[in-house]
Amino acid sequence: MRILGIETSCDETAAAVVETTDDLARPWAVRSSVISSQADIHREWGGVVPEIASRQHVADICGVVERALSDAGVRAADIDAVAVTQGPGLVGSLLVGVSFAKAFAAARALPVVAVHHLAGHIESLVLEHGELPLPAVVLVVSGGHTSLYFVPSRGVYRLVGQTRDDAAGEAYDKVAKLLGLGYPGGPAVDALAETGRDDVVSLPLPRFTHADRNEAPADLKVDEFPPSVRKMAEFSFSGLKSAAVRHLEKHGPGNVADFCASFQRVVVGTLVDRLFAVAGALGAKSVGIVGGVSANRRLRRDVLARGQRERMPVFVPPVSLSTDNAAMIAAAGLRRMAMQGASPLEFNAQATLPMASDRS
Amino acid sequence: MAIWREGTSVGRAGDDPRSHAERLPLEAVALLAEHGLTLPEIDTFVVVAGPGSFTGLRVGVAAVQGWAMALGRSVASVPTLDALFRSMPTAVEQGTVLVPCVDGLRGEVFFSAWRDGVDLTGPQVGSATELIATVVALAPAGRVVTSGDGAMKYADTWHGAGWEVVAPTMALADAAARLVADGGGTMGGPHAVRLNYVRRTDAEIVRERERGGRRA
Repeated sequence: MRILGIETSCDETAAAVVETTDDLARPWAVRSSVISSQADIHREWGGVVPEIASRQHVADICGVVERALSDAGVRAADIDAVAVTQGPGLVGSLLVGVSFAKAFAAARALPVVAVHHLAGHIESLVLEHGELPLPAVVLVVSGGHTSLYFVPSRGVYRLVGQTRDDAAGEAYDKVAKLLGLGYPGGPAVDALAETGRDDVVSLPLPRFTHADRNEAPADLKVDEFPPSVRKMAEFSFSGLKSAAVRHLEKHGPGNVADFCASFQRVVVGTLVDRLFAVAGALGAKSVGIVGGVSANRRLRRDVLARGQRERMPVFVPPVSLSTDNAAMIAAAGLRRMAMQGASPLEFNAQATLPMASDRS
Repeated sequence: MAIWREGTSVGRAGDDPRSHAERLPLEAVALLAEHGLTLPEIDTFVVVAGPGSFTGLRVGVAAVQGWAMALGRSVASVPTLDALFRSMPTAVEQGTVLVPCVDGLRGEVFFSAWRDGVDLTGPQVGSATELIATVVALAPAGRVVTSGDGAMKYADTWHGAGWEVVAPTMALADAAARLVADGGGTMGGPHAVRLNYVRRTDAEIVRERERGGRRA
């Protein structure tokens, strides 16, 4: 099976060709993966402008798909199925990929499969490392998401908890903006932090003193995990963000590298602590970190070191599969096709798509 | 949607409450099947490329791009207002101004003004008052006929200006297909389709307003 994956959930237009293999332990092979990033376009706005992103996707999608086919050495006629990100994401952006993918599939009478964006991120681990020791706990951390998923068996993703407010990547972007480091902020803060001391600035660790007042997301079954585990899996970065703002207003940035390193120590410490706490509570045999923030150097170092100390296998994707890409969507599409078959052609983009539809 | 085959066109206007993205591509496949055709039998895909609903335009263009890329076909893109002009009554006396008019939401319309087959304005966006002022500046007197969903929405305003409001004589897709069959539109690969939104993004509008304010 050779599948064309398409991803347009935010500001990257991506296409990839992925094939199944005969190796059950490493079920998929990436034949091509092409990403056209709009980061340069959105940088001048300090963040992603949804309408501009949508316009750019429709201008880029043909070239990206053509390049993905060409790099894989195949033609449209050689594709067996199409996978596309259905959500969550910016609905205008998602619609471009969904409309293109459904039409491409219909033109050649191919099956099309709608993929949850975060399922794609989780399957990026399998693309790189082969099947994970299960059960696993996977942290999805990016500019839009900070969520912990329990993966009891292949293709089953159960939300344990997520951020109550901002995603970790949003906190990075905010701090970078305050420091005048531009957009996207994560890589800039990460680079500066490498040269700074992380114990210079005191910033608070996120703590919860009250129950979450937000409505539970549709894919969080509150009775699925004990309350103590769910609480371990909750994140909050708005308080840290505010503390960083207050510090900068009161004291100025001082040594910017030290500030970045101190900020990063708190964020990474929180992410790693909660990942391992939940993994321990749920008896996980491995842990993973995926999403754009998983490219962060300190996060990679700290999580691998913690895994060594706790004798827990740790998996992170290569940087090329950390940020949004279509190879992971193709992989998740192959997984879903094998478990549930193709999607009906009526499916639509969904900005807040719950993961529930990806459960077995 | 419309199918043009051997000099005849079968058009269908959309009135389904479901969104464009839910309806495509199945409705196209169904329309083709009704006429004994399949997508691979289509030689050229035609798409209306704006102005109009931003999301609707993108869904249509992305779908056409998907078909064309999958099948190695060309795409002809047609300006919305050109297609709408094409669907307006042709039996009008010389000098009559024809105004294809599409609802632009936000109290605005997308429009162009034609006289004797010549597009005098190109695609514009503005309020009803601005449209009337534009047409009056071009043709201070004489017959003015407008058509399209923008014409219907603000019919009272146009009538108040002494204009006639008429229904299109055919579906927009039908008009676009006929226009391309007659050699109109812009033909190219699916990559070459360029949407004409006419209206800039809100972010750009706000930034320009802020910069203007600072200058002031």
